[in-house]
Amino acid sequence: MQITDRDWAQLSAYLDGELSGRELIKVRKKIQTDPLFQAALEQLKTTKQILQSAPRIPAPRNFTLTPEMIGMKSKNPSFSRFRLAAALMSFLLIGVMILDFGGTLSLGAMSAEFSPKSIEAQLESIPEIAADAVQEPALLEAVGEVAEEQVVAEYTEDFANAGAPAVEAEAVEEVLAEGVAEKGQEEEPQDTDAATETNRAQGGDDLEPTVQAWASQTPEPLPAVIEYYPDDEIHEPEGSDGISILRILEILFGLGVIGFSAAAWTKRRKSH
Amino acid sequence: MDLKEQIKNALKGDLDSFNQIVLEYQNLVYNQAYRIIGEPDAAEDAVQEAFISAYKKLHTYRGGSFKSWLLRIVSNACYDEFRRRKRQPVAPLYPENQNGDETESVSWLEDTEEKPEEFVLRNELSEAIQICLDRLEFEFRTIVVLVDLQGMDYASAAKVIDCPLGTVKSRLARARRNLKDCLQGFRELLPVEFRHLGEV
Repeated sequence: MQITDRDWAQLSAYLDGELSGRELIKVRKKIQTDPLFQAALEQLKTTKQILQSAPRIPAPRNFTLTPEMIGMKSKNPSFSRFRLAAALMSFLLIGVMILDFGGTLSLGAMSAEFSPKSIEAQLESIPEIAADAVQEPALLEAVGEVAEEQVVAEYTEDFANAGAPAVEAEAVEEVLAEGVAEKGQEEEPQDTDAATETNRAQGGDDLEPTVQAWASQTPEPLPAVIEYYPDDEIHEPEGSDGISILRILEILFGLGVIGFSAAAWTKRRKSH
Repeated sequence: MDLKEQIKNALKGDLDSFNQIVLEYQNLVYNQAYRIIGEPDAAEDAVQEAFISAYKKLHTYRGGSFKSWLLRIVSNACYDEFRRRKRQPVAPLYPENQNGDETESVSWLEDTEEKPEEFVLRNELSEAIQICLDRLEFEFRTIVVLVDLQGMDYASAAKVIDCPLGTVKSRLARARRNLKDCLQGFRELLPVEFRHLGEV
């Protein structure tokens, strides 16, 4: 009797205790009755024993994984947090710098109004107003009060608002006053006198000392102003009250960027 | 820390916990890979790939026998490595003698009349078994390694190779028969109690 493939499979399973029920009874019966089956079973048993006796080969090395092996980025949470904070600070810093720069540009344009040429041109127009003013007491009053107080005060205020130093505002005020005086004195002296007389006649006693002061004053040369504001320079007004909020924010965010970057770098180095 | 805890931590991204599992199972896995592939270097590559794959697929482990789950990954990794080596065969680096024969290969020891004692003395039974395993087709080799070398039952082996129980049974029987015939050639190398193999 020949042992078929199916018989070999049954014997193999019987050897491993993987048969049950009718199959087990059937195979057991064959083994008991057929010596060929007994021999085949013995051969399989021996083969299995030989395989089981094969020595275990220890792993030649450790197969532990590294983050690089699994393409894993650093799981260090604090490192990631510091890096994120540094990035956030950088964005904020850039934003504040853009705001600051934009503000500077608009203020710079404003400052251009107070450039030497602009001021000079405006100063030149003021004596004309003064000259007209001397013809009528009302206009003279306007020159005396508007030119001296309102116009100058406006410039002064503008300068102050624009962040110009008080010294500059005072200088402009002084120059404006001198300019008015000079123009009135040199170009229309007789008219000034006439206006003074007219004014006095109308009871404008308070204007007389002003006009007399103008006449007695020695005009200062305008280049002094030009020296203060060079032609090719647009003055960037500085905060009249110290460092602006934007500057403070820039410093804070800049420090934040540096600090968080350094912390992230340190953490990363430690993790490696 | 037990296995469940290690797996739980590894799933959270704790690589150290997974590496503890690696250290615990690496001998088992390497044996499986070496017996299936038959080449130490290739087995190492397969084991490393298997552990990397296991880490990445750890979320697919749904409980049950972790050993079976892991050996399934190893078997797949071995199969990939086996196919890769088949496409790009690696030339053995055994030194040759004056006649151009390999001096370190144990294949020549199959002729037991030459120097079987030396074979035994060098404890190369393991290598003889490996030679016979290498002669099996991949599928048969895998199942015999799982059941006879790793000691798995049929059901677990069926899960590992993803085959029905009947397939495991038939493949194993055929593999054992082939191994029996092969090992008869190394009879003199076998321990005395096994030398009657095939005599009946």
